[in-house]
Amino acid sequence: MSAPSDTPRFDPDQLSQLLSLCRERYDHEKDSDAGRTDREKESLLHDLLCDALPLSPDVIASLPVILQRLHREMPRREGRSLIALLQDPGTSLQDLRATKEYGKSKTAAAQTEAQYEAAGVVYYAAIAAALVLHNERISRHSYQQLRESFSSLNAKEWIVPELRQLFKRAGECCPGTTGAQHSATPEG
Amino acid sequence: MRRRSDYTSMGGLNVRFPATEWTRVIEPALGEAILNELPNRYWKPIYCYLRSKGFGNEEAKDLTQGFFTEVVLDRGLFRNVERSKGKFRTLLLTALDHYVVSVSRYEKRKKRRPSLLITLDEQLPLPDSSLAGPEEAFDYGWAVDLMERTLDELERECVRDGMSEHWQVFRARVLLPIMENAQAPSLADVCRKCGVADPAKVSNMIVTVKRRFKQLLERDVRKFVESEAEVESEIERLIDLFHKKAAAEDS
Repeated sequence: MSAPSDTPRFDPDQLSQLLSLCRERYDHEKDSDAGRTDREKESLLHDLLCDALPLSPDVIASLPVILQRLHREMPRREGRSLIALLQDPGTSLQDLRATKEYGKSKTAAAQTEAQYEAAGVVYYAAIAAALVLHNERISRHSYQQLRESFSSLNAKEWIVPELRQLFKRAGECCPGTTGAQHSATPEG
Repeated sequence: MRRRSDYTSMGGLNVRFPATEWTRVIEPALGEAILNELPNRYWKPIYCYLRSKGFGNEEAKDLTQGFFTEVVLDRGLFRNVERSKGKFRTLLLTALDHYVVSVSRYEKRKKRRPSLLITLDEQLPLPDSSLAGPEEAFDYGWAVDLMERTLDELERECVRDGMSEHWQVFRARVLLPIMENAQAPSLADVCRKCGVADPAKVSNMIVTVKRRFKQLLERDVRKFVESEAEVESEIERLIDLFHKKAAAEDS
């Protein structure tokens, strides 16, 4: 068994320098509050999309409060990230409904506008995926409302291109758009 | 050329906890995951904290093991904090202090449960001797672990997303100069070394990776503070702490 190492992996100066990278404002961030906000939304959305669907809220709520923040790092029921789930033709409607509910719960829990908007993207992305992948409407919103929402989301540059494309395709699936076909009875 | 992993050879705590009443009440997989995750996340800072308190290497390891085995397993720690949020780190250190006192009083180390298999990697960090006190040692251990994980994940993401070249450029221009206390190479040198044609492209690649580094670091810090506003202030606090230590060493 080797002797314990006396050498820290990062000395204080190195830690200070590395942490200071977080102080830097990168080109597109520098000037405007809108830029910083968009960057924050992009980051929050990225975190949401890289995670898999979480455990049910009931299980999470049963955790001690101090651990509820940590649950995001815990193993999930499913291994797929949300971004993969939303683009996979094999994703079931059940999973898309669960994703929609997850997005809805995150908007309700949002403490900032950026968190709210990032979570809203997940909510609408699930609805969009159901339209595109299954030709099913899993929302009570009217087709016109959905079309307008998808169009608005498609125009937001802080949203990842894959989802913007999904929103574009979903908008085309809504009746009233050329070539669109009707889907089943709307859900809540 | 040394890889980033050469700088971070810290080992880990190999702990398997027996099922408890708590893990049966909460979904078993999640309960076990939580119990396993906490030692992985906190053993280094706790070990540093104890060493800074004056415990020797073996004593500190013993107490670290005992704390996670006997206190984390015992629902008492989390039962007491259910009613309020508070900072997880503060609660952990308070519980640890109480545990250390109880061990010294009742010699619980002699009553360790023989059924638990716990090994500690011998490659444990020693707190920087210039750190003033145990809480700073804890912060140091925590920051080291945070940085290791962030850089690990950053590299994995770059590779996963087809940005290995971005990572190599960032490593050559930003990471290695910091780790080796050397002057950063020029963009032209980085171009030659990494096979990128255009210095402007190299510059953009570095910005992309730095931005992602910042996002990952902030994401991790965010999990352990009370509000979004505290993320930036927590990072600033750590920068200030380590900058002062570095300045003190240089003087």
